[in-house]
Amino acid sequence: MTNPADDEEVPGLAGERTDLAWSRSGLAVLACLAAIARKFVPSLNDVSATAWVVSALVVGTAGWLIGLFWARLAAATTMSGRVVANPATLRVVAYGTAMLGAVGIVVAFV
Amino acid sequence: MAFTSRSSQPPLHEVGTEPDVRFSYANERTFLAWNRTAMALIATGLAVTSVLPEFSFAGGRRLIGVPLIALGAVLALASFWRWETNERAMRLGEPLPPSRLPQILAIGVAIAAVIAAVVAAFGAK
Repeated sequence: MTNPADDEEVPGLAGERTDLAWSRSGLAVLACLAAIARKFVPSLNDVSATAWVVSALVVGTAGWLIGLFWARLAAATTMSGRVVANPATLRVVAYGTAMLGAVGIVVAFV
Repeated sequence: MAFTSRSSQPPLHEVGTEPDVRFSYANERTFLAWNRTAMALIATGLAVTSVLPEFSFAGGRRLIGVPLIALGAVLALASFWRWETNERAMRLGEPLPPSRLPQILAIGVAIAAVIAAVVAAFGAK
């Protein structure tokens, strides 16, 4: 009989740790979107304060919603009784991250 | 690690038996951790191209930043491949094949650091 690590004696906690990992990944998406958005607001001096605040709120809200949706979507997959995460969901995650990279490379040349 | 086309392999849920859920969760968290690493590389590469002051030659910041972003994209795609390989091995009760991802990350970051050092040393205004 194989023994999981000592800190994983309670199976329910592993699922909770996995959901938290999804939330952390959602935050990372937010950080990446902010880095991309920053390329379009290059100089604080050229943009009025109002436009800056509005842009930041819009980008931040959109990024947070994407991250939240991401985390909830994954939580439904892992907490509904399915033992294995849906490979299709994880494939979307991997392609999505790679697409952020592609967008990043394009934006880097802007 | 041999690369076999996904279309030539049976679907994941038809292979072997369900592993202990904690192992599947650990595999999933590892995949997510690699994606967060990829996103950190992408964000860092973008920051390099916008936050750093210009160098004495054109394209200096992109020379540092774009490889970092590309490394992030590569890691994101490779991490899904690793997740599926690991899941298949766990379902068949086989040992996990060795992963090249840490090697790719280490070499990629080292190359980016060398590029940054050279550009900073010879390209400072």
